[in-house]
Amino acid sequence: MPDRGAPDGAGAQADRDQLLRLLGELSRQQRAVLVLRHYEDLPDVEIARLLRIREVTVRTHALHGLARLRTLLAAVEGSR
Amino acid sequence: MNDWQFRSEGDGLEDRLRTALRSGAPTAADLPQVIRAGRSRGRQLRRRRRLLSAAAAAGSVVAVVAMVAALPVAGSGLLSRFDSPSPGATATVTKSPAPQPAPSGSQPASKNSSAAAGWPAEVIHGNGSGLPLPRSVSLAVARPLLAFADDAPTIRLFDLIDPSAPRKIATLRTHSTWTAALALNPAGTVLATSGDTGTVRIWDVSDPASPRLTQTLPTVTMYVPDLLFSPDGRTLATAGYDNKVRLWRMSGTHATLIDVLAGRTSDVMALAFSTDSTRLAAASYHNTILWDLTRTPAQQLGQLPVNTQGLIDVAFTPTGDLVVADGDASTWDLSSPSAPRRLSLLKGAGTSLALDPVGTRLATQNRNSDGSAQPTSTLALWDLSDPGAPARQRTFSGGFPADDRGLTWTADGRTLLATTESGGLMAIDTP
Repeated sequence: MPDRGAPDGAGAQADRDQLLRLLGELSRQQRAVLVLRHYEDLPDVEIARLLRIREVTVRTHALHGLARLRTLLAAVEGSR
Repeated sequence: MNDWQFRSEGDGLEDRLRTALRSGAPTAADLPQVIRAGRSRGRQLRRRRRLLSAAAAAGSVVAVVAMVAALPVAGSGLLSRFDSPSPGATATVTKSPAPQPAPSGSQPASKNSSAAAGWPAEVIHGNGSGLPLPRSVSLAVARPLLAFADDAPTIRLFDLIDPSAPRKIATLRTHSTWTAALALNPAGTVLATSGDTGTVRIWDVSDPASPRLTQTLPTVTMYVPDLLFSPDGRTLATAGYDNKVRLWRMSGTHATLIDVLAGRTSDVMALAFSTDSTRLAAASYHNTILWDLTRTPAQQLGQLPVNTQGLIDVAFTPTGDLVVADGDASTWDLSSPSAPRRLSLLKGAGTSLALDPVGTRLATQNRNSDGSAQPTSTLALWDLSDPGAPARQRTFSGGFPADDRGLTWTADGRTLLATTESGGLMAIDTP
């Protein structure tokens, strides 16, 4: 495979697919917060308003969601 | 943004996530779906029939206009005006004077030349942040006063004496971020608002041009998703995420806590007073509890099962039946409230409802909750003269994107207002 290991090659795409798949394993609210933050670039106050949760809850969901993503990633990468 | 604590890991996960989300993954990044999912744990709020809430999607101007065009049966049924009682009219249900046709030349200079439903661009579009944010609208019964909260820490009051040209009267600076719920009392002299931290404020709006903050109620719960004045104007009910309903006696613009209603329930999402103000229905996704307000403290009369984990809406008919929308709509005979008897069941009718002032017509709105990218929903009108056998009168479909919305009838029963996710307020002629 000529493009193996290239920054935008199949490996990078696989990494993105995997991340999105793992994102699907988070709770709905965690996923919503992470998408609104990192896809929509919304500030926490807007996310709170959209989801009708408190701003502090947004931060909690983001924190827990990222922590869970790290755990899931470690698990799949460790099993390779 | 206070997100320093999330940048501190330094493992680049967030950058990878950002890259992944932006690499063209439509299902992961479908914004309406994400928002629906994020709300769907049950934190949705349901305004009762006199409180509307709408989520305004990006590009509201286009969306509202498109919405009108998308309604297949709307045609002549859509109003370009808003019918409301004339100033000084009483709070009783009377036919208002003949609606004034909207003179085409009287439209105020506006960003929105189409003026869908005759509402000022400022109402339809909020402050133009382009974000799908919750809004709250309340109409007074006895005077043509509209209170409107959108995506800013402000509430605006509009004068609807001339329905074809609503006029902004005042802007209130309110809660630190946004307004969770608001309600005008029936007389239109007192406004109650709740903020994002559970703070409830009382405003004297007897002179709407110079509203005065008169009271800030003690914060007792982290969130007050709903509040509502009784039809006699004497009581304010506030729902709370502490699973309790609080009753406040109104004396002028001053509220005094008189009762805390605690039942075996969960977050109270919707409140309804009976038209004689003697009963209260408090709906959660655990159950709906009926309270007798003629006793102090209020006595629990009975409860109804709820068949949903999501949205719910309730309303009393003038004859004391209860209508519940928890996905299906059902009517209940409460003549022996300890054993409510179901009179009818409208499968799939919706999670939002409104009764016209005389209680013979029911509007229901359902939503598609499967999270699909193109949700469909239906607004239906039912003849409720026989609560045991509601008959479908009209159906509007396809034009009401799913999720957060509200319905209300004007005091004269001539117009049904339906909010839409795109931020519009539809006025539908219901003569």
